[in-house]
Amino acid sequence: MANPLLQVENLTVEFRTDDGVVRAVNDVSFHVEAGETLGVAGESGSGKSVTNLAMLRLIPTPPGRIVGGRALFKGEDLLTMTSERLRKIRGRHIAMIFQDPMTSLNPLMTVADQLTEVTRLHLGHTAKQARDHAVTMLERVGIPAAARRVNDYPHQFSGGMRQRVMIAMALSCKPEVLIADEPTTALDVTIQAQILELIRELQEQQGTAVILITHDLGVMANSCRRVAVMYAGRIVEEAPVDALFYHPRHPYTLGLLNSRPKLEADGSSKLQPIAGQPPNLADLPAGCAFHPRCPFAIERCRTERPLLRPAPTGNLFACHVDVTTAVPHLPQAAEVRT
Amino acid sequence: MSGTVASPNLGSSSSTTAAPLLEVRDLKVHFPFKRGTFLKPERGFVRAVDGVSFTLREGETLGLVGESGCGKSTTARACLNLVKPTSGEVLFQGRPIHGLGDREMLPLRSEMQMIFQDPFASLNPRMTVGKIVGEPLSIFFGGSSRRDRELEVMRLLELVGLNPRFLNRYPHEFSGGQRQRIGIARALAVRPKLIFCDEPVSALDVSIQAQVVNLLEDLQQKLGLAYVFIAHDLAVVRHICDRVGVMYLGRIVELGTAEDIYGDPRHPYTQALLSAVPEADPAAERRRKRIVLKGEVPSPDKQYPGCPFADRCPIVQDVCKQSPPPLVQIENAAARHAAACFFARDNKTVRLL
Repeated sequence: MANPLLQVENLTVEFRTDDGVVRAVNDVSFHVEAGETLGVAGESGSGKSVTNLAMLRLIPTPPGRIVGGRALFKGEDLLTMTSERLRKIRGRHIAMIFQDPMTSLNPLMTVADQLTEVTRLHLGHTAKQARDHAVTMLERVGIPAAARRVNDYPHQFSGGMRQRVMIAMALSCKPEVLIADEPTTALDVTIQAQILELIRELQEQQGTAVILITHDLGVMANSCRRVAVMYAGRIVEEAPVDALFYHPRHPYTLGLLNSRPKLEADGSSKLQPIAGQPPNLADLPAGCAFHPRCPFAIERCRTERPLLRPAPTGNLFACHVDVTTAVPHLPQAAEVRT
Repeated sequence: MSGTVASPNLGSSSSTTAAPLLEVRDLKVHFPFKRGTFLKPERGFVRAVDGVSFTLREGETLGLVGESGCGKSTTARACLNLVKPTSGEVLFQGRPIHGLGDREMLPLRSEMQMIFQDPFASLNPRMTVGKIVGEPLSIFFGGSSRRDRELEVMRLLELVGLNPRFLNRYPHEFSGGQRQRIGIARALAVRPKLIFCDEPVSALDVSIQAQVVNLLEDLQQKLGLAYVFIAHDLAVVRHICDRVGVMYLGRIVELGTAEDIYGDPRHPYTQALLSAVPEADPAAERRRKRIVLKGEVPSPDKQYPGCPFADRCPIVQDVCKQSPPPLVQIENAAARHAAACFFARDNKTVRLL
């Protein structure tokens, strides 16, 4: 553990908006090692995507601004290196798959053009080499008749096939880190199963580290070794996958787990939703940002923000209360109706 | 054409003799298309819905599940007379609804309502909440006074868990979950008996989904509503539905109680679909045997001589490619558990849950 492949320290990102300056990512630290999958969970607006975009300096500036922190890839800080150096790493050593395969491929370029662009740039392939490589990659991600389909345009592929093209593109330089931002959210479950299986296979073959951003707890349980849960721009809990699902320590994690219906349970018991609405980043509550929705909140939570602390099960969690013994009450957000 | 007609009493309760609230008989919706070049035109039909039959009782919830393009939403739209079916019948309280003119349809519109997936796109951004929820009231109960309507809107907002004082706010001032509540209040305004919920929670954050699911359940209990609940989230469907129909390529391939569909699935597609859903349980996920289907859902613009699932089916036989299996009661399964598969009787190998 001495030198993780990728280590993010105290990353903070701000955006200037009409409502004032908003901290989308606040003092976030995590690491990922070769061959492992780290899951990042959280609701929309929790900062999970911005964290990963900021790491590769892909947020639009302005309005965005990286205020502080470091993102060390093999000891080199991605946030301060020259753009030339960063361009050599992006796409080559660290690759990204985006959520929406419909909008992240160029509709005016054939799949061959888009796939060969990366390898010609990064690996110095000749046109012929790059083309052969593109066909091999498409075959590996399970696109039938790859040699013919490589000449097609994105619109000629279905959603699942387009996501495969994205994955083929991301993996064509054998990256050491793959950031997958909701890679299966737009897809049907049977296709999702195929894609997750594919990422796992490729990871095993190449030892790629994967950061999997998703709000789907099932996908998380299926694919990740460790999970970080984000709320209002901060990591509120980080734990090995079993510890997170079986011994959650943050009330928000607990709330997420309880609010999902289980496939094997009949509908007789009521779901337990988290009260209230997701927080407004421009106007965060004082103390712990979760306290108005929290059934375990105590007086201290209103004023003092809890820091991450370890639990015996291996969790790191940011909460003043011990949820394993505390008695839940009606949260503030449930009393004042929104 | 295909002969997937369910036996007439499939699904509906045999204890009551009254007409079911909604009855759909061999519904087909085919959209014509024209493509290809000017010199080599190609014409055909997209068979969005291709022989769907089911019934729904008062106060009951029927789930329609399946992957995108399987015809779930088109089925709902055809039931609401929003698209014209190619053939088949939809009866609301025993009365056929197709062929009714706009004016004759109007009273039925107050009986059947719809909640949409996208709470951002389905509310007019230039109307206040009061106007959005009040508009159906002024259409259907035009005689009432403005003050009465305003009181009614406030009652509805209260009913869906929104502050009645939000009357004069605009949709952009609300979060996704709150907007979905506004959409629900609008649907309830005309006191419907049946609501089609088309992916009502899939655009919402996980922590908010449960709030809306609970609200729909509470309202059902309070108001005796029936729902047709369309979703691709199989866990949510199991939670809220009494009966479930699994759709594939415009047909219902399996129909039964939620318990039967999830506990004893017999159609190989249902089995694959259920096995593909990852569950929030890491140990179970590691143990799990997954049926990974090859390929993708084929295009609905072709006609298949046999079972539409044959190309991807793990237990396909020659007979499957000759004629389509009808949706019929499974011999050794629970009553009213039907599947459109020749091998449903013996296909019990995969016990998922």
